[in-house]
This record gives sequence, structure tokens and C-alpha cells, in this order.
Amino acid sequence: MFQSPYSAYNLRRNPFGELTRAERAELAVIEGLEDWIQALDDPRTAIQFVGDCGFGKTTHLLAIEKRLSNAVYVYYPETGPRPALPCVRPVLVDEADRMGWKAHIRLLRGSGPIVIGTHVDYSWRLRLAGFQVLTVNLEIAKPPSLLAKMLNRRIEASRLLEASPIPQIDEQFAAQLLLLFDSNMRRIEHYLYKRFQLSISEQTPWPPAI
Amino acid sequence: MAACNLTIQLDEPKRIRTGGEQVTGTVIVRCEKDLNCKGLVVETRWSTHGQGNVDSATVDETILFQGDWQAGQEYKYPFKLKAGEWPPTYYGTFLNVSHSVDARAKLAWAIDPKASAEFPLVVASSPVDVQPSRKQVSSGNNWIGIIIVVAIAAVFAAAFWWLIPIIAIVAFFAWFFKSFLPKQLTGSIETKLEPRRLKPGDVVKGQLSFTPKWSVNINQITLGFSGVEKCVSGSGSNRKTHSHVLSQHIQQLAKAQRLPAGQKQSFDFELRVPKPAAPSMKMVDNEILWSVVLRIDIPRWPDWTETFPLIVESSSPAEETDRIQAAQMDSAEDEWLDQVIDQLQESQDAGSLRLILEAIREHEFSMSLEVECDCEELTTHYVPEVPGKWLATFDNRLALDVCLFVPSSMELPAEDTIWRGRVGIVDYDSDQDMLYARMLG
Repeated sequence: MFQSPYSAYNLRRNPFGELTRAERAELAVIEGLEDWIQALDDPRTAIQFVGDCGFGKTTHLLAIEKRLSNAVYVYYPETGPRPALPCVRPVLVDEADRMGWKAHIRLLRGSGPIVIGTHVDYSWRLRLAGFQVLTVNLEIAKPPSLLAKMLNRRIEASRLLEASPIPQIDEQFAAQLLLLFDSNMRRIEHYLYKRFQLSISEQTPWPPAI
Repeated sequence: MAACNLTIQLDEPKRIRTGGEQVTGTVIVRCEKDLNCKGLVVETRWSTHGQGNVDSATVDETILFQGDWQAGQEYKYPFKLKAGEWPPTYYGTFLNVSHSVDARAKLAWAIDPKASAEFPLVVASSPVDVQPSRKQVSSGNNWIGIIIVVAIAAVFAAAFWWLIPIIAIVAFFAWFFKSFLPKQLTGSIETKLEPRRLKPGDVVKGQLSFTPKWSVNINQITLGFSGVEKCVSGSGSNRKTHSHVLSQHIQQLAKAQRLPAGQKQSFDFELRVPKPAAPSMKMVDNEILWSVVLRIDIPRWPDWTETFPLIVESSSPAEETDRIQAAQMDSAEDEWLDQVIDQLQESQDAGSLRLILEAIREHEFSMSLEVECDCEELTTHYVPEVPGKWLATFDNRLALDVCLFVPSSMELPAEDTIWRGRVGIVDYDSDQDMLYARMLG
């Protein structure tokens, strides 16, 4: 209970556990981030990240928020009071499909770039409001090399000692994960968390064979 | 390359700290170029990690330096900070709690370099509510929290007033089926359970008594005792609760029988909290909960159940320190065994192999072996001096086949179980990468 079981792998924690919001933004591996940041210089740009739960909408928004110091992130919960939509732009709206029509209209009428995370494709509505729309479908299969890079970054962030090696995920292993879970990062992380704990309790090498 | 590099050197890094004591050490800064530091901040903090959302708090903080650093120089800044008092260090399955000293150099126009060093912490006693102290909770001012909760409740009640009668009806049915109906058969039920706050290894005693109103058949009366790690991840629709059972024990207090009407039934029971046991903890999204559940299982009728939350306190610092030191010794033993196996695997000829085996002849090793079946083929020259049986086993940690000799005087482990104990190494077959060991206890 007191002896860190992770130190046997030169790690200080299970790399696939929950992260703080700041860590999620810091460890995000986002391809195309620079292009999006540049596109958001144009006040009529709208970027929408579309995908089901667990595909990384929030992570993409948080990574953009980290890069844009003047941006405001707003999360719309499923239940309970809805937050007020700020007038500040760029505004990053998470779960935009829960905003309600009044907030939607205010969002589209405001001037300045917007970024939304949504389960529903709003491109027609955004275009109608005069935005140049960039749609990123997060459910499209990721290349194994990208997934390996994302997961290895999390492992690296859990490193204990600089001088000693840490476990690494190779492209072959990442390809197997994509076969099992598509690109659903949340399911991949939950699976890896449990497999890592299992390796600890059974004292077996990691990554395991899958 | 980073503009500068931070390292934290704790004094006595492996020593187990007790809650609230001072942590001392040095922050070492190595600069690659001239820099202006707006603040070298060092803090003690605790944080959870695992499947639940991160709960964390800063315990003590100080600014060690502000000013200019020159390229190629190394600077050392000693610090003295107070360690947290609660929660203790804990490594579980879904929940972990770590204490650390974290340092950060605030630099202009550059990524702030950081460093962190963890230290194990035990506590003298658990707080009454097993929660971190209010001033340590990261979620901010408590009054603001209460006002927000009241405001949300008021808004919710105003918006969803029509839900109130539905909630009342659901509550009524819950009470009717869980309490009213069972008591129509069992009569009023009295329960006693003491103590509710105890330490690992302590015994909790109790009594369940009732006088049935009618003759009633029961399937059984049980006493359940369990400890659970409960963690919540995400929020809103992504909110998910993860539970991991740490310990579970069900004891039968009465078998299936007919209880006559009007005759008082009384069942005394006692149970012992396992030792070691994870201490009860309650953070915002992470908890360790212990409870006792009494159940009267009535056929074709709602069961009567009652749950008693227990608070399992931390063991004393001395006990925890002993246990950690024993774990550290086990870890050192594992390293020694790893070295021996490496040498056996690298031995080039029979002569060097014999030399290694001779050198470790008197040594005992702790092993954890998965028992597979009887050993069918033996390729060892070792001849046991006592009768016994060879078992084919597997060491998961070392990924190594082990043929284990079990003397007749010792208990034979069952197949498909994990046997843990002490062995002596008697031979090694390099062709089959097979270790031969003798069970010692």
C-alpha cells in the first residue's frame, strides 16, 4: 500500500489514469494544431470537432485553449444550469449540441472565431451564419504511429528517473489497439490502465501481448 | 534544450515521513543560458492518481529565489517545508495518493522548468470525517461552494418543481419495499455494532435481534463486510464511477429455517478488519469506503438489509514504517534474485554454472509461483535427500519456468494457484531455461 508499484517500471504512476485539465492540454498530441491556430486569426473562421464520446473533442479544445491565451473555454453540461456564453472571442464551446437554440444564435451572431466540440455536424448552420467552416471528424481512424506517439507521451510524462528506461508502445501494438477500439481514446486509455494494473499485480512485463 | 534544469534532492529520500513533519532538501538549478527568474517556487503537495478525477492540494509553499541566473552555473537552494497531515500515501488499484515536493522556476518567455520528488508519508491518526482539512482542499472557499449548491438547488427546484411529487413517490416505494414490508414479517429489528471506528486488525462486534410477528421462513441471515475503492472520472454525461473491491467477506449468521412467531431471535457476530487494510478516505472524487451489511433473506418477499459505514483508521506510524521497510527489503531481495538468474542464464559452461550454484547454496529466495501441474520430465542432476514431489510452476515476474521440489513433510500447493514462499535454488537447465528450486517454507 505504501511502496510505489510503478517504480518497478521507472514510472511514478499508471500513465493511463485521469489527468488534470492542464495536463490533458499539455500532453495532447494534435496534428494540424498550428494550421488551426493560424486559421483562427480570421474572425469568420469556425472549427468544429465532431465525434462520439471518448474520441478527443475536449482534448482538442483544451490544446487550442492552451495555445490561445485570449480564448475562453466553455463546457455545457448535460443537466443543471447552463453557463453564460461569454462575448470574448475566440470562444471554445465544448458539447455545443447541448447549448440550446438561444445560445446557438448568440454564438453565431457574435463576431470573432469560434471552435466547437460536438456530436452533431453543424457545418450548414455555421456556413449560413457566414463562417468559413473547418470540420474535423475525430472518429476517422488514426495512423498507428500517431497513436503510439500519443500514448508514449503520456508514459514519458509519468517517468520517474531520467537515466533509466521506461516502457514504450510500438506501432505494432498501437495497430492492435486501433483494431480493438478504433480511435476511441477513452476506451484505449481505460483498457491500458487495467492492463497496466494487471501487469503490476502479476509482476509481468509491459506492454503485454494482445 | 531547456533553458535551465531543476533537480530536487530530498534529505533522506527513502525515509518515511509522518504527517505534518518537516521535509528538507535542496533544489539544484543548472542554467544553459543567462536567465531572469521571476520566482523559484517550491511546494509540498498531495495528489491522487488513477481512474478518478485528480484531487490535489498544496500543503506548504515558499519562494526560494528571484533574480538573475548566469549560463553554465549551478545554484543550490535549500528548503524546509511542512508535509501534509492527511491523506497518507496509498497505492491501490483505481486510487493512489502521493505526496511530493514540486519545484517550478517562473521564467519570462520560456516554458517554466519543473521538478518533482515523491516521499512516502504515514499518518498518526485519521481525521474524524477522513477528509483532508478544509484549508487544504483545492476546490476553494467552502462558503462559496455552499452558496453555489444552494443556488443550483433553488434553480433546479424552480425549474423542475413537477419532479418533487415524483421523487416523493419513488422515496415512498423505496421505504415501503425496503423497510415496511420486511418488518411486517420480522417485526421491529434491533441492531448493535461497535466500534464504528477502528484500526486494521481490530474486531467489530454486534448483535441482530428481532421477534417475528408471524412464523416466517428465511433463506439465510448474512453479514457482509467489504472495503471498496470508489473513484469518479469525467463530468456531466461523461461521468463514470469506477469501483474496485479491496476486501469482501460474507458470513452466514443463520441457515434456512422457519422462525416461529413471537419468539425472540438474537444473533451475535464479530468480524476482524484485515491487516493491513487501506484506511478510509474521502476526497472530492476519490474514496475508500468500508461497510458492514446485514441481510435477512426472505423467500418471495423483499429482503431486509441495513448498511453500517465503518471508518478504518490508518495503522500507527511505527507499524506502517515496519511494513514499508519489509516491502523495501522484499524489493532488494527481488533485485538479488534477478541478478542470480541473470548470472545463471549467462553461465557459459557447466563449470561456471556449478560455481554459481555452489555460491548460492545456502541462500533463500522469496518467489511467487503459479502452480501448473506435476513435473513430467526432469533434466536436473539434483537428487533430493528426502522424499517429495516435483511440480511444474511458472514465475510471472521473471517469465521463467521453475521446477519446484516439495518435500513430503510440506503442504503440496494446489494446481492453478499462486504459491508464495521461500525456496533454495538447486539447479538450472540452460537448454530449456528451466530453474530447479526446493521449497523451504
